[in-house]
Amino acid sequence: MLRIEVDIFSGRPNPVWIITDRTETERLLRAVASVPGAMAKQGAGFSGLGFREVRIDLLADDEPRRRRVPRQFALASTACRNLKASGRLARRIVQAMPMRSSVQLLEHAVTPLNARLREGILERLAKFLDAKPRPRRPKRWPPYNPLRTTIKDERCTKCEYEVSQFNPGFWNAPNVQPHNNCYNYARNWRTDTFAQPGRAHGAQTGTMSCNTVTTAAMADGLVKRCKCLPISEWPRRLMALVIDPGWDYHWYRHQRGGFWGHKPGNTAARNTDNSNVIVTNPETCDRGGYTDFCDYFYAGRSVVIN
Amino acid sequence: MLVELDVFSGRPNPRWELDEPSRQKLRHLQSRLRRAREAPPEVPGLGYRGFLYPSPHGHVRAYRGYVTTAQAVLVDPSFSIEQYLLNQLPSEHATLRRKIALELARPK
Repeated sequence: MLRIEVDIFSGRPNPVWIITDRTETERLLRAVASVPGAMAKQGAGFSGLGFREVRIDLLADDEPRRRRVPRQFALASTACRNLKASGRLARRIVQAMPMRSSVQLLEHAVTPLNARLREGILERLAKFLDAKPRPRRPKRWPPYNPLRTTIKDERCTKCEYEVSQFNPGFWNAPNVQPHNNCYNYARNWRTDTFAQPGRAHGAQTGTMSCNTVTTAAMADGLVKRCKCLPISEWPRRLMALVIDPGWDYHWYRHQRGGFWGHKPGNTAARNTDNSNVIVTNPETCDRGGYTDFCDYFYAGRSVVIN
Repeated sequence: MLVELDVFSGRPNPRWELDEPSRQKLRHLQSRLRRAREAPPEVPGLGYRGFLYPSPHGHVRAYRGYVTTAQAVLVDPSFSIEQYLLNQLPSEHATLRRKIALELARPK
């Protein structure tokens, strides 16, 4: 026994009928099972006004089951992988809608099964299937992530960026720590290549100065602070560059909680400076020989490093 | 034996192979060291962090007069291991050698 419901109305009860004939039930389920992608979860597709889907429910708990046919599913739903074929099956079911149902349902008092109703459903179903694909419900952007918070930049309040929960465990694992450096950490991208500014874009430098490393990093897509990144670049990082003149560079990343995290070379990720003080300001913290503070940068999702 | 001068943050550290005579010399230098009674100095995040080399029981770090192995901390008052490895640093790192020499000359 099958319950068929055409999900189409808003105020009235939907057209509903029961198929009791065993041969008809078998034929319908066989047809559905033979078309890959014809079924979808009920209520997973278009949910606006007008035709939405044809819902089918197996009513008995001892109904012979067909492989790949669940106890309830929908046809002609925009969630179907093969909407065209699913729509054809739905049309066949609606065309076979009984004019006088052998099983009287409460819904029939307000939505009686008749030829006018059937023609109306078929007409709307045809329009529904011919219509251009409806835009899916816009996804929530940025997606919820409890480990990230969007904050306004205190130096330029029109700009926003994301700060993450300090998570050194991710970086200090034995298979990660030796292969990722300060640039990996600050960009928050584990490449396992000891990433170098500019290398992903053929712009790597061997000269260790603010100008040269800045140019290399900007070739990777970093932008100077206060050149606001759009929300499409979420998650956006605030990074700080310092230089040991002539020798090396180093990067910090602003973290949730108001401090800065960093990972000196192949050592452990941390949030303290060379004096073991939490880094609240990369310009003034103890940086050893990295005496030149260069600048702050934003790195959005489009920044590729290697 | 691959030796690493652990000094950089962004750039890769210098690494080089020690030949067999140099390895023997290194082992000899290490065998003369006595166990430390105190903890070794904390290795900083940025800057010179010592020399790393492998041993049968894991990596060894020689940093500012202490040699830390998987089993023990040895004291090296004359920085003999670090001075020796610094002298083995390949010639293309001559300027870096001078920088590290100044670091080793810094009072403890």
